[in-house]
Amino acid sequence: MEDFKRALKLQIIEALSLQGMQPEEIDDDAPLFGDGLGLDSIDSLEMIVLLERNYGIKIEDPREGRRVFESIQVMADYIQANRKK
Amino acid sequence: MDLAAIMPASYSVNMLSPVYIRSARAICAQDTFGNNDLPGELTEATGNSLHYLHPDYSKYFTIMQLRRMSRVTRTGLVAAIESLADAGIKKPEAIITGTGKGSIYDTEKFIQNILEFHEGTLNPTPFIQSTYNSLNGLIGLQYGASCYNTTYVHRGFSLELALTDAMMLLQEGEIEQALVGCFEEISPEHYIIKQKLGAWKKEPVSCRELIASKTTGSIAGEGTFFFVVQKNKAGALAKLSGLRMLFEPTVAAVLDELTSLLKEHHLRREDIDLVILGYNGDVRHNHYYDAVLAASDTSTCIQCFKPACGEFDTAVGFAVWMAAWAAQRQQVFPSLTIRPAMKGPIKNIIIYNHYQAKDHVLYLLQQTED
Repeated sequence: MEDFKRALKLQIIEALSLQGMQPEEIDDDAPLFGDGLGLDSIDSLEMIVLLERNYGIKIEDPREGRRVFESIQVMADYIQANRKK
Repeated sequence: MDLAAIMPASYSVNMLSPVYIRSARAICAQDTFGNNDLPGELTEATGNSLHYLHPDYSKYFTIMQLRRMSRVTRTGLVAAIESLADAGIKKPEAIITGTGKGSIYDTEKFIQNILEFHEGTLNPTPFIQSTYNSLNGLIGLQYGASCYNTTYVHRGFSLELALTDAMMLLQEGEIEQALVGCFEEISPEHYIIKQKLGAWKKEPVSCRELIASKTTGSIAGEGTFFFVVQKNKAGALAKLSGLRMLFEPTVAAVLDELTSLLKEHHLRREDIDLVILGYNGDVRHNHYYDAVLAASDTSTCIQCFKPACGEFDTAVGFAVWMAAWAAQRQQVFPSLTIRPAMKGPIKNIIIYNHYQAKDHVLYLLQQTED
């Protein structure tokens, strides 16, 4: 699981162009939006694209995305439970 | 709709009152931005392309801001910020830009995404940045300016249409000042497409030898140029007195239009102190510039600008920046001189440029009166 979370962080850093950021700087349980990583609604759409392309998971409702993208830990658990590839 | 199809053969804005250029900023392949000047030695083209010398963006934006800004939104926003700062303006009353192609990198990325993912779920960022007016939106957000905000996209007339719009708004009294700019970039893929169309030289050419070249094609370039134009002359660098656009004219029509422009402003050819020509080294289209050069008074200083910035839809922005600089500082850039000056102050400046021999523009800029 730890390796998977690190790989997921790298994918997020690349998808969101978080230049200069290292996976170690992203806390597993810190919120990705708002006070944590400071991501915004466009990042949310980018991560929906990431889930679909990398794991075959379709999130139709952006509000569901907000719940899934609460933190790296929540996101990793959701992907493991729902991934199609 | 293609504007060229409905435009008259020539279009002049001589009915409009002059406007004053309060500030001017340029970002291109040369080190023009830091000191708002052109170094004596020109940066050479790489592979017949002149690419941006990027400013230090970290002085202006955080990493979180930069990550969603394309190359031209970065150059554009920085040039806009410094133009407004130079003019002492806290909030522009209008934001008007022109671009031939906008953010080509993001347009290509977006199209590539469509192909690769079979029109499925696509990344929003390249789509947002591929729109021509994304830079204008960012400038508006940066200054909290919900003012008039427009982008003109019409190849070699893009900057002129933006300026015309600003001139009309200023004349109508709706605003006192406007931020006007143009921006362009070249991507490797777009370079290849235009290479197939014969736009670029087949053989490597030095910038210094571009104008004397006897072959077809030019060198590719990219540039971002921003200006604050205002109604009043206080603190202005130069006066933009006249602007003419001609679509696919004959050489005779260009000369007639030049004569008409001078007559309109009660000027004789010998009153013109500086002529800036858009020579790009392409032998197919040099005859237009040769004719304007031949029609110039022998004492007039003749300069070029594309050895510095390369060829692109809105390259004339460099000439406008250069003319404003010359009018204010009463100097020219020696590295761009075709024929040196034989007389005194630079009071009247003509810019003549065409893009692919289709979109021809003439500008008259004048030194600001005391």
